[in-house]
Amino acid sequence: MSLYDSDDEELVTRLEDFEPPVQLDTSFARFIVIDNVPVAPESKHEKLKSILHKIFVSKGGEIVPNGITLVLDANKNTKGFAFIEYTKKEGANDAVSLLNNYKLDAKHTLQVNLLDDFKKFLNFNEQYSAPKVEEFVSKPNYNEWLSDKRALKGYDQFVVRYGDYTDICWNEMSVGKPIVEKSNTAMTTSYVQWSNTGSYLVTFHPDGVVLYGGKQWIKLNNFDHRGVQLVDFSPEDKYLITFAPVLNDNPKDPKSIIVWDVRNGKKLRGFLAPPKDQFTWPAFRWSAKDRFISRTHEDKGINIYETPSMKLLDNTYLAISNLKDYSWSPTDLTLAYFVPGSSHIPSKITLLELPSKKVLAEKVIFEAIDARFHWQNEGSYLCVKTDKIVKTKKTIPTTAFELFRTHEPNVPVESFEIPYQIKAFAWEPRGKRICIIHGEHKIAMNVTFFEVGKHKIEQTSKLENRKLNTIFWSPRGTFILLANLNDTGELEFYNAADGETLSTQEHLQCTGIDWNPSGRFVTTFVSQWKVNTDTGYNIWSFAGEPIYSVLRDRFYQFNWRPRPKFMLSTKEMNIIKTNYKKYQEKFDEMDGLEIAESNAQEERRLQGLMDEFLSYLQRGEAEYQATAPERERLGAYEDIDKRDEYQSVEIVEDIIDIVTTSYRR
Amino acid sequence: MRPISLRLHERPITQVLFNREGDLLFVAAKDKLVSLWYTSTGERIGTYTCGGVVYAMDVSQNSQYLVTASADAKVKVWDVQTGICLHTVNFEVACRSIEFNQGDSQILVVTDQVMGCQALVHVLDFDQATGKLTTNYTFQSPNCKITHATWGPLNKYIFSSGEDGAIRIYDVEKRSLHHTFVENTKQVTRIEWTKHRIMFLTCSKDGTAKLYDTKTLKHLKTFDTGRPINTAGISPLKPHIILGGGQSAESVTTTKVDASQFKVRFYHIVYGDELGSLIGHIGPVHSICFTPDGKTFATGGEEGLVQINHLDESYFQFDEDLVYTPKHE
Repeated sequence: MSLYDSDDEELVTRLEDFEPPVQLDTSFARFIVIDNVPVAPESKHEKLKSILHKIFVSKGGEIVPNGITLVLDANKNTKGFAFIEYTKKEGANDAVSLLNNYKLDAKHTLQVNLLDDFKKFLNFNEQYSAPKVEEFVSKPNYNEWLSDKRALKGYDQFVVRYGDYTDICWNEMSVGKPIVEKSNTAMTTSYVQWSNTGSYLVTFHPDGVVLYGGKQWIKLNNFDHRGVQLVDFSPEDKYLITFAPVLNDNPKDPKSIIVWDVRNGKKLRGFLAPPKDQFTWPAFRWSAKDRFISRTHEDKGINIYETPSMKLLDNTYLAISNLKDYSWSPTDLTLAYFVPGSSHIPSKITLLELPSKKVLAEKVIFEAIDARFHWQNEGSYLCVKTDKIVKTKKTIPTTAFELFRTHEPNVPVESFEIPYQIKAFAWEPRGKRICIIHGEHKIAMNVTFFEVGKHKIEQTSKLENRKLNTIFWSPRGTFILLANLNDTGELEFYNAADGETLSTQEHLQCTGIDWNPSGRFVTTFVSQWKVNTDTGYNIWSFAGEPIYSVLRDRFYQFNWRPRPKFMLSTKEMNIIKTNYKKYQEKFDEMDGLEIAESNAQEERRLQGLMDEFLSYLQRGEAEYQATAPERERLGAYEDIDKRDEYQSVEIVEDIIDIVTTSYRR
Repeated sequence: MRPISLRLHERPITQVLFNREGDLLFVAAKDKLVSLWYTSTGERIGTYTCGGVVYAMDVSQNSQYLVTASADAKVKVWDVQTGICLHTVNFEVACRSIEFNQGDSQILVVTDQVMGCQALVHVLDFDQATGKLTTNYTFQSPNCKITHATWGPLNKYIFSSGEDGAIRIYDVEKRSLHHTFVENTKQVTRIEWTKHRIMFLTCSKDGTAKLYDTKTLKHLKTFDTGRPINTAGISPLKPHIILGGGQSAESVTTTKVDASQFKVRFYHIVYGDELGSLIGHIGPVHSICFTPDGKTFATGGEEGLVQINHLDESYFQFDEDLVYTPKHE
């Protein structure tokens, strides 16, 4: 085939094999059209061009050489409009936005438009068409799981991570093992976290975090934050704070810490992260009701931002000079802060109401250098542990506390002391009890319980010589699990109301503990993050009876799914408590039925397993018996049978007589 | 139940083995000794001194001959009664596994993959009159260390377990690889037969033991202990298996462990639940063996201790016996 046989099209395609066709710029994005230009005769064209050049270079940037074209009529007068070609598209855009309606003189106001816009408006459809309304897609009910029949019976969900798996399971007491609701591999790149009310499960990815939820565990929202490492939900799950380490963050558009609106997924504000050595997480502290977030403004005060505008309250920081530490009440818009004293001024703890800035209480303490705030979870009490300068070497050092009764009029304050340094401190949730672990040596610690009485705080019970270091109150109060965490793993289940130990157990090398939100179960687990043998988890009843245990290779994480905040008031709770018998009967009956049903099911399952196994075994045995001649031929005889001949030899040793003879020398 | 502790060996036990009647217990250890004991009393009868670490052994069905495979690349045939070494076969590398076939006409020997040699399964002819061994043939190497090999039903196949977690089945007649399957993520340490070789159980370092039907190779059950499994004992009488293992010796010293690691655990072979466990060893358990009547089992551990457990009467009332033949027939 010669070259002449091929037609043009073929030639072009052949050419394209060697080089791609030249891409011509056919758009007019760099052009603008100017209207209302003065009509000028030929003699004045150069002058008009120079004026236009001056104006349009000043705002729009460089114009291509001879880029100004005046449009002329037959008499070589200008027609009253002109074209300008910029070197860059941005120049044309700037000129349109800055020079439209520019007053050249009293009679001429320039109209500047992009040449492309003309095309667009010429093709504009004059007919009105109603915009299409997107069909409403309802978001799944985040709390649907609470209406699951298992949740109604009081069972809870939890998430476990091991190997590449992330499993969401139900804890059904009667089954004795976790019931997997959903199992995923590679769901997250680092870890997972529940939101505070349990509505969402957060997973981490290189480009941000994703919230999962609803019955089907679908993606509800994603928050794009490259390199995200930590998240923090507001107490009521309305807002989310994410953190990603950013080098040389831009102060005008900070990207280290971002506050998001959880429901619509919008970014509310970015913040710069503090320097690495001062970084703590959570970076911001939440007030109650999701109203404010705050962080310290060096030691000059506190920056308080109001949600959702994320603007500083009163447009400035709350000035507290020499501020050491502060804490929000978990239920009220109250802030407690501590200012250490100097040589002449005593230290002070102040309770401040916001946004009114009314001082609710003040307590002066001498020689205190630091303070730690411990709020009771209903905000009724605040216990502040104060550290004092040790002047004399007393025989027994003591730790001092200040107790604020925040919900009583005038906020009475009371002081008390206990011997030794404290190791752990915890308020009973929804209660009046305090548990403190204190002592000298970690193998012989004391556990002391206090109760806030009507007038005075009183010590109720004490455990001595215990190898314990951490306190875990049941979320419903009364019961407590004391543990020797990250060590040998001693566990002590204790009833604080009666002051008696329910049981002592052990989970070797236990690294973490999580109470089920109902307070019926508690989990102790060993995570691969800290220990690399025998990782897994044990589930116990509140009284310390083992329910079941799971060992997993590369086990990382266990978290119960939180339940939303209690809707009942303490009064309503008490009514239920007095009618407890009635409820108990109902639930016992339900449990009984369920256990009977699951027992019957289990029996059927086991019978099925046994039948299947036996079918294999008996078929195999029948074949074995059928091959007896073949084995005979091989000379193999496995079972003991008549072919075995025993020769039994009995050795009889009879002692006939023992003669005792005495010799005399 | 009070176990009888046999303290003789100073180095890890590699295998415990009962003879066919179950009245004699052979113990092989890394201290280059094989010892012989009375099962009922734990009284020692004698020892066989090998030249190297004894990895495996087997006894003929009439308890006349003992064959040992040791790290000095030797397979030896012993007269059980007199303790005389009748015959020695030299290999190039350490011998890992050894077993008589059914009928004692042949033995298989597994040699290690070291020093440029490939792991091999050898078959040798055995003369029952004189105790002489003659090399017959060798299977093609799987290019991976073989941890254990055993004869299948009627000597038709040889089942071997590999360090790569694979089970390889060799056809004896065709002298070639018949089938391979990989269902473990880590090394398979041992293949253990149920009575009459109807099923077999694989033990793996990944913490699982898996039960298969021999004829169909159907996977019937997985037992997950969460700890490396070195060995298993299968009761011929009751629906029970015993699994033994624990952290390997080198990682024991670097991690915090307690003796509960080295418990031997009883599992129900059908339901798969843990029935109980037995403390006793302070190191990983390397070998477990049931007597053929299922009334006694022996365990051997890393610390050199062997225990004979004569099961109590209460154990035999605890579960029903396995029904090998349906009652209505």
